[in-house]
Amino acid sequence: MSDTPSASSREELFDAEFLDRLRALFLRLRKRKQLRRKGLQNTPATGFTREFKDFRHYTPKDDFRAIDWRLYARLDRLFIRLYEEIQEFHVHIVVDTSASMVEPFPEKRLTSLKLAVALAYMGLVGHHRVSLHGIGASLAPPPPPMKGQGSLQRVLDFARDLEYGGLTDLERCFQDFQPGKRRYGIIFVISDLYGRDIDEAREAIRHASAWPGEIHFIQVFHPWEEKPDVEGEIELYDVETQEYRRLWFTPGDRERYEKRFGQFLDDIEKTCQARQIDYQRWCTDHPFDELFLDLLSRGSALAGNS
Amino acid sequence: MEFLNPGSLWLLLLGIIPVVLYLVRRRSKKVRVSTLVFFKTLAREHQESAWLRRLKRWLSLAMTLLLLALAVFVLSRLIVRQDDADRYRTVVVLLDRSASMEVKDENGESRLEAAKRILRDRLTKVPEEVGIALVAYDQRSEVLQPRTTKRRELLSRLDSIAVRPIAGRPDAAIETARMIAGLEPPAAIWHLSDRLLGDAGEGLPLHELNLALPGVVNAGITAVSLRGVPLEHARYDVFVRIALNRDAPAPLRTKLQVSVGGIPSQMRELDLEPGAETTLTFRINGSRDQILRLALAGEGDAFPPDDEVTLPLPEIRPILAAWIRPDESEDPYTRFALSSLQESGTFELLKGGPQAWPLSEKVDAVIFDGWLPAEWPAGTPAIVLNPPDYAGPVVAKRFAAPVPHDSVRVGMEDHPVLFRVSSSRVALTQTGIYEARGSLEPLWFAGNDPVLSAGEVGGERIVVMGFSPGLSERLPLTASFPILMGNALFWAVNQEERGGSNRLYRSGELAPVTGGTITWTESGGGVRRATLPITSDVVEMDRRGIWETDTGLRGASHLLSREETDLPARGEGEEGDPAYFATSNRFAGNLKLWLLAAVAMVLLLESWLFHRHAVY
Repeated sequence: MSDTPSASSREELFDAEFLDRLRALFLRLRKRKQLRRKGLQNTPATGFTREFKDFRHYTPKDDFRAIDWRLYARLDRLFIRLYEEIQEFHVHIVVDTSASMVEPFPEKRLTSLKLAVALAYMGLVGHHRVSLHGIGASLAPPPPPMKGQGSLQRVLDFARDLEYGGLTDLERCFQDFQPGKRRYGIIFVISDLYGRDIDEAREAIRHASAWPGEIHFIQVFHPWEEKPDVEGEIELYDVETQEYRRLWFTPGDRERYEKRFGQFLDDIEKTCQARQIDYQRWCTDHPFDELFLDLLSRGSALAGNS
Repeated sequence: MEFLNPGSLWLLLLGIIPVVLYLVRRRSKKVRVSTLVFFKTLAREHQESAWLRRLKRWLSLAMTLLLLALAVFVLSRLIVRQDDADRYRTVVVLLDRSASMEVKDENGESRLEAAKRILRDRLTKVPEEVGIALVAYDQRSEVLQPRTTKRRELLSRLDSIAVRPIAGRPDAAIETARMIAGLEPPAAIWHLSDRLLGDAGEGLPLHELNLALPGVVNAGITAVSLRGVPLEHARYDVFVRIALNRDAPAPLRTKLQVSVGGIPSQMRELDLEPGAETTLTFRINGSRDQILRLALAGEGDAFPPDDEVTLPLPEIRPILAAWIRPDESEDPYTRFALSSLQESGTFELLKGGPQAWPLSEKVDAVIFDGWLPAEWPAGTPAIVLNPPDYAGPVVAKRFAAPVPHDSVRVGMEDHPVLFRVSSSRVALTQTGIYEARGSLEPLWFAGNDPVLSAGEVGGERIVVMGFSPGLSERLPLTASFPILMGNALFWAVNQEERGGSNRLYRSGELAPVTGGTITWTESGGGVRRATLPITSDVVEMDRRGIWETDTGLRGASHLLSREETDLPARGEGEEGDPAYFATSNRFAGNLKLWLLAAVAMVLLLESWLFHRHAVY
């Protein structure tokens, strides 16, 4: 464990090789949504772009203007032409900047920032608008949305300059986070979801139902937090509340702690499932690449380059 | 409080280890965590305040040291002395199990049970290294447990002790106790009885506990004698002696009921003074083997075992006597008296002169009339009439001229030889003076000289008459002389041999028996029968009742003890040493069990205080 947070270098946050591999991938929405903005991103739905996609038998509900008369002349059957639909949407990335994300395990901060940069990079490559938000005791004012690959440096600067510390007020932050319907898109929340009490995260997630977009919660934690490697008489110090607590930690206590922590994670997951929110546990000692791809594929936010 | 094994106390130094560990213990590890919410959900004891944690830490150290100290104390054999007497190496417990220990208090607890209860408690307070011997006594003392340090064995022996209906003889028992005490000194004697000894002798410490009741009344039969009535068939004279204990608070009226063969025969009422003894004489009709039962009843009588005597009536065999005279001229009065006895069928007579001596036939008694053998006949009772000059067990000098006397003076009126003999109208002629080298007691005096004496010489009874019936004026012609002769013969002859098998024994005596089994019909508290094997030629009379062997030998055994009937009452200052036997200090003795219990308690307390939420 490191005792003090340190600003991450560009190299730590920007893994060029990994990000290059992401260029072949795109973010996508699970459900088709009629968006005002047309972008480069194609969707599973058909649209009215000039990019041909496929043929399909005509049905009376289809637009007759899409009938391919040439095929009718040749085959004497009605077919309609399908075209790609290309959309542009918002990618909101909410990063927890409370003290618990950097102390005593700075790996959580690094992981969360790397994740945020990777997601932002995918959004920028897909010509979506990317918004970065920091939450702690309150919701920090976000910078203007970024678009285009040229904005990557701004993303990196934003990530590097994020100030960590203070308490976490999940409920207040999630309540205050209101992107507006014009900024519909995919929302990634990267946090350890530790609140002032054990039920705060579940309560806060209820507010996320009102957010405009498809929501992904990524809970970042350190393996020590899941299985604390400590025994005997200990004096605990809460880095957020700066509260001390003495106790005699027995193997039995450790067993109960692990059970309670696992129950906490399960409760968050069930709460997310109940609200059709995608949920991903992110232990910092797991390979980043695997978890990242799993995040996108499980949440169907990932699309290959067609 | 002291340690029997103080050499183990150095182990207390091990207490330094937990103290050092406490002083140099590793400080609590400081751990920075992202959140405390999960730790707060753990057991409540982890939410303790700092002062409680400190208190618990101190408490834990104190308990650890206490555990160590308790364990070392167990190894060092910590004991608490009941008093200084526990420093002896040997304690000889002398427990009275005689008949009087059966007296029960108002709670129904007998004296012996009380003694056992007190002993059982007291023995648990004696340090383990003190050897204890257990001696129970009645008429004889019995070493039930030689010196041992095994308490369980000792207590088992103690529990097996029961009252025996036998008179107690503490003097013999204390001798036994002294011998045991002398084996491994220093030693002390504990004596628990209803009578105090006062001193054990030889400077031995004696701790006594008097278990007698504060006030007790007891009247009992202390002696019974039975003999056939001279000149009469199937009639018996019964002598009964009845006594009231000395410590009885007031005179007591008692009733003696006599029954023969289950049929009430007589009833006598007696007023007894405390400490007095009364002799009753009465005559009963009965035949051989009928059961004579004497039952005494008195209000408040605390000791039933001496209130009843049963015995089968004996068969009276005729007395075979030899009458030795120096010449053929028989004294007609003596012959008349002996003839009248012969007619009753209870007497057979052989006559002869000195030339017939020694006799070829064994007789029950010899009547030496004016002659004595040169060598005194050993083993034969004798009646000596008108003795010649003689120097043997009886030294006699015959007068040159007989001396007539108008009257006689009675020496012992109650002597059986004078039973129903009138002494008031006797005029006799003294023929000589005599002196007996034995225990002859004068019954009649003529002038200053005894003319009739009875007693024992050489282990046999003799009756000496220093007068001549033929020369006397009034005696031979009265009915008293045949009665006197009969009494003398019946008294002198060994009644045991004459009475056949039906003999009355005092309990505790040894009865010669034959056969393979003996069947007891015990009296007291209902009739109980028990058949036991005979393992030797004698059987100890350790029960009350009638017995019969498989060879037909019969007899009876009863307490018949003046000492046991004279139940003592415990007066002030006669308690003995009750404080010594009191076990008020429940922690006295070896504290091993208490210490181990304390260790267990501390462990439980520590477990509850510090580990009750632990998961192992």
